[in-house]
Amino acid sequence: MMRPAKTTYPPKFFVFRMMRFLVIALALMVLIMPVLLGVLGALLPAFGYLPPLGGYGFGLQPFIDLFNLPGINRAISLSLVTGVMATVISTLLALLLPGLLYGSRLFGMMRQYLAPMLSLPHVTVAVGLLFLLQPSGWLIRLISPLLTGWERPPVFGPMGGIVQDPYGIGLMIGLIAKEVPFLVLLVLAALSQINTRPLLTLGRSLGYGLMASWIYLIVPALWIRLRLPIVIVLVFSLSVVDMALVLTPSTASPLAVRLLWLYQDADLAMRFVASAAAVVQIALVAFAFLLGWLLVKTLSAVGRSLAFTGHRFTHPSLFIFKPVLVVMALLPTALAALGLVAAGLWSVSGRWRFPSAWPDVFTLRHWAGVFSGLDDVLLTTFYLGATVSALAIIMVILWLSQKPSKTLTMAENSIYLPLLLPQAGFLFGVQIMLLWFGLDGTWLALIWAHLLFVLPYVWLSLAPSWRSFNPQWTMLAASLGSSPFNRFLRVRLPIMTLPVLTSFAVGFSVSAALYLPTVFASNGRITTLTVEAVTLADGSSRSPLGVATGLQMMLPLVIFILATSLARVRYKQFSYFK
Amino acid sequence: MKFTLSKLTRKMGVMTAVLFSTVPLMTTIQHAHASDEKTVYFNAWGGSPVINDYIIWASERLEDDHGISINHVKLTDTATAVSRILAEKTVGRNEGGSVDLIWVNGENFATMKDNGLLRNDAWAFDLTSWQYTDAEALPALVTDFGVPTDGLESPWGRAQLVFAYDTSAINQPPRSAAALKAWVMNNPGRFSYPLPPDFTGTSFLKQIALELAVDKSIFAQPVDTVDANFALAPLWDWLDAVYPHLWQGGRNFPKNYTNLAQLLGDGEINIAMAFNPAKFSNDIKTGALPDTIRTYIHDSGTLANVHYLAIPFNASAPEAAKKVADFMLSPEAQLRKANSDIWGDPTVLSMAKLSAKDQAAFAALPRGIATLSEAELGKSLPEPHPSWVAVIEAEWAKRYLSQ
Repeated sequence: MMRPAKTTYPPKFFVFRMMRFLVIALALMVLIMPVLLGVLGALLPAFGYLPPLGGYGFGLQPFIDLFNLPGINRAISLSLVTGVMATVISTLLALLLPGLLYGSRLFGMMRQYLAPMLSLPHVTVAVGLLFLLQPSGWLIRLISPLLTGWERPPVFGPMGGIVQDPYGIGLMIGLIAKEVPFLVLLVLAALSQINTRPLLTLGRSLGYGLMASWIYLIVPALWIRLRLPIVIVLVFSLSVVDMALVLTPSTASPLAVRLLWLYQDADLAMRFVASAAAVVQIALVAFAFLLGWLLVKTLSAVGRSLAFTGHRFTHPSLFIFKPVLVVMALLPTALAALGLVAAGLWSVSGRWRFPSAWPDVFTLRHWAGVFSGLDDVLLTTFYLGATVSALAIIMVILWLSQKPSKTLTMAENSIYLPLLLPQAGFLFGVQIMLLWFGLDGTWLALIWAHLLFVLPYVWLSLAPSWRSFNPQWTMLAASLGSSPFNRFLRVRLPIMTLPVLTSFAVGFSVSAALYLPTVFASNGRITTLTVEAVTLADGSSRSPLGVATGLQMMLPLVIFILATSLARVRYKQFSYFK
Repeated sequence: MKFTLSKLTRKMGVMTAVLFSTVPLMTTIQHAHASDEKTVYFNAWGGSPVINDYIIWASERLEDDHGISINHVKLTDTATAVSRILAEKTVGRNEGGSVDLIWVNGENFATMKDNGLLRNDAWAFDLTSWQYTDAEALPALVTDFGVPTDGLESPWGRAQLVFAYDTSAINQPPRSAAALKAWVMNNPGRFSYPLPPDFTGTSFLKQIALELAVDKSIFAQPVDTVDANFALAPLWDWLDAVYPHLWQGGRNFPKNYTNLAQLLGDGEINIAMAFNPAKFSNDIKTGALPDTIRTYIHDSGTLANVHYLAIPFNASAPEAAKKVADFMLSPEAQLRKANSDIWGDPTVLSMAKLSAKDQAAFAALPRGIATLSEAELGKSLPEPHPSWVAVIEAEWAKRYLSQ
C-alpha cells in the first residue's frame, strides 16, 4: 500500500498546525514585544517622563545634563571610532583572508583553528590580551631583561601599554581578535553555497589573478550573505561593555560603560540622564550604520569602476600586501590565544616576580578555591546555558516545521532584533518592566533574557542545515506508512543530530558569554562565570582571574567537544554514514 | 478515527512533555537558589579574594549552626546596591527585596538612612554579640562618619588607611602629603591611587585634603554650611601638581586597592595604600607580594573608621540576616577576621568584655611581617562629614575624567 507523499490535510492536521502557529506567535509576543517596550522604557525617561521618580513633564533636560557630564564627548567619539574601525577592519580581513589563503595548506587549517575561538566569551579574550600586553604582562616578561634591559616594568606614560590605552587601540585589537574568526567561519560557510571554484576559474581564464578574481567575483557574492552578521558585529562593537571594562583605561571609557555607571549611580535622578545616554547609544548605532552604508556604496562604486576598466591588481608593490594582510588578520587572534596561556600560568602561580618569564612558584591553591566558591557559579552557568539552548532549539525546530509563508519570514527576521539594537539601549527599560512585575532576579527572567540573544544564533546555526535536509528521506518513510510525527522523530531528527548538537553548543557558548543581560535580569542575585570574571577583572589579583578565565575557556569547549563527539557516536549507528 | 485521535493526543502529549521537560529542572534550581528565609543575599564589595574566602567560611559555619547560607553578591561599588534598593522603594516593593544584608559605612549609610532604606527597629543593639562591644571606649561604634547609627547597622570591623612601599626601590618613604608630592614628581609613573569613587581612592583624597587643611575642624561640618571651595583648594593644587607624573600619565587608575597592590607587586608602582593595616602582610604570606614590602603611615596620622552591616527595610530574610550580623560580631568570627593570615581586619570588640580564653586568643594572633604595631598606628584622623564625599568625587571627575 503506497500512500501519496503529498496529501491534502484533514482537519486534525489543521489543529496541529494551528497549535504550532500559536506557539510561534506566543514566542514572538514574549521575545519581541518586551524588547520594543524596553526601547520605550529608555525613550520616555530620556525626555523626562518617569512617574515613579517624579518625572511627569517632557523636555530635553536629561540630554542637557548628559552632555554636561565630564568626558562624555570623549566617550561618544571613542565608542564610534573603536566600533566602526573594528567592524571595518574585521570585515575587510574576513572577506580577503580566505582569498589570500585559497588553495594553500592554511586554508584547510583555518576552520580547525578558528572554530574554538568562537566558543570563547568576549571577556575571556579581553582578559587574555590584558595578561599578555600590559607593561608588566607576559610579553614583556618573556623578553626582559634579556632584550630590553628592563629590570622593572617600563613606564610608557599616557599610552599606558598596548592595552588600556586612551585611544581604544587595545579594545579594537580585542574586538578584531573575536570578530575575524566569527566572520571568517561565516565566509567559509557561504563559500560552500556559491560556486566558488568555477567562478575563480572563470576569472582566471579571463586573465585575472586569484586575488582580482576573488575581489571581483567572490566578494560581492559573499557580501550579500554576510550583511546581517556584519551589522550584528557593528552593533555589538559599538555597545560592548565587558570587553571595554577590561581593555580601556578607567578615565576614558566608551559610552556603553558610562551608561552602565549612570544606571548604577546612587543618585536616582541620574536614571533620566542614563536613559538619555541609551537614546544617544541607539542614535550612534544608526549613525554608524549610515556611515557603513556610505562606505559600502563608495567601495562598490570603486570596485565597479576598477572592474569596468579591467584593473588587474598586478602592480608589484601589491605583493607585499599579501603577507601583511594575513598577519594582520591572524595576529590579534594569536595574541589572544597566547594571552590565554598567560592567564593559565597565572592561575597556577604561587609567586611570579617581574621580570621572570615563568612563575617562580607553582601552586594549585587558586584552583582549590573553585570548589568552595565557584562551584555554584559553574553549575548556574551550566544549567542556564543548557536550558536556554535546549529551549531555543525546540523553538527553532517548531518554527522550521511550519510551511514557509510571508508572515513567517517577517517573523523570522524579527528574532534578530535583540542583536540589532545596542544591549544597553533596551535592557534598562526591560529591567524596569521586570521590577514592575516582580520578576527581576528570578530564573524565569534570566532564562528569558538569555533566550533573546541565544535564539538568533541558534537560528543562524541550525536553519541552513535543517532546510538543506533532503525531503526524500521523509517521503520514503511516509511511503512506508510512517506518521508525520514518527517521520520527524525517527527519521529527520536522527539525521539532523550533528547540526542540532552543534547548535546546542553554539547556544550554550552564547549564553555563557552574556554579561549585560545577565546582570540586569538577575538583578545581581544570580551570578554566572562571565559576571564573576568581569567582577574579578574589574579589580582583583591576577590568579583568581586566571582561574575564572580558565573555567570560562573550558566550559564551552567541553560542551562543544561533547556535542560533536556525541553526534559522531550517534552517526555510527547508521550504516548509511559508515 | 478513534485510532488517529489517540495518535494526535499522543503527539501533543509528547510535544508538551518536551516543552515542559525543562520546568522541573528550573524548579529544582529555583528551590536551591532563590529567595527563602534561610538564604541571605549579602551585598558586599567583592574585590578582595581574602574577604570573599572569609565570607565563604562564615556561610559554612552558619549553615552548620543555623541552616542559614550566605549568597555573596559581589559588588564593585556599594552605591550600586544602594541605588537598587532605592529603586525598589520607588516602585513600591516593600517586601521581598533583592538585598538582605549590606556592607556599608559613611556616605552610603548616610544616604540609606536619609532615604529610609534601612530596617529601623534598632536591631543592632539587640544582638547577642553586642554585649562584647564597648561604645563608650570606641564611640565610632555608634557614630558612622559623625552620623549616629541609631542601631540601624551593626559594627563589623575597624580600618585605618596605611601606605605600603617597596624597600628595594625606596629607602625612606614619604611620610606626609608634601613629601609624597615631591616623591611622585621625582619618580614619574611610579605612584597611583584607586579610581574614585572606589572607597580607598576617595579616602586617599580625603586624607590629602585633611593633611593640607589649615583648620581640620571645618571637615566635621556638613559641606554646605562651610566654604568648600576654600577648604578643598589645597587638595586640587596638590592633585594638579602630581597628575602628569602618576602611573600611566594619570589616564588610567587602578580600580581598587587589590589592583593597586598587584601593581606594587609587579613593580609598576612603588607606593600603594589600603584601608586595612594587615593587607600587605597577608599578600606577602600568600606570595602575591615580595617580602620587601613594608607599611607606614603619615606623621600627622591617617583616616580611620568602622565599617558595618545593615539590613534594608524590604529584606526578604531579615531574621536570618540578623543571625548573620550577630555571628559576624561574635568573638569566634571576629578572631578569625583579625588574623592577618586570613584577613587581618582589626576587631570592634572590647577586650575587657571578652572571656579570658578569648582575650588570650586575640593576644596570640600573628601580627604579620609588614603590619605596624598598635602604637605605630596610634595616630588617626577622624572621617570628614559624609556630605563631603559627593562634592570631592564630583569635582575630581570634572577635573580628571575629561582629560
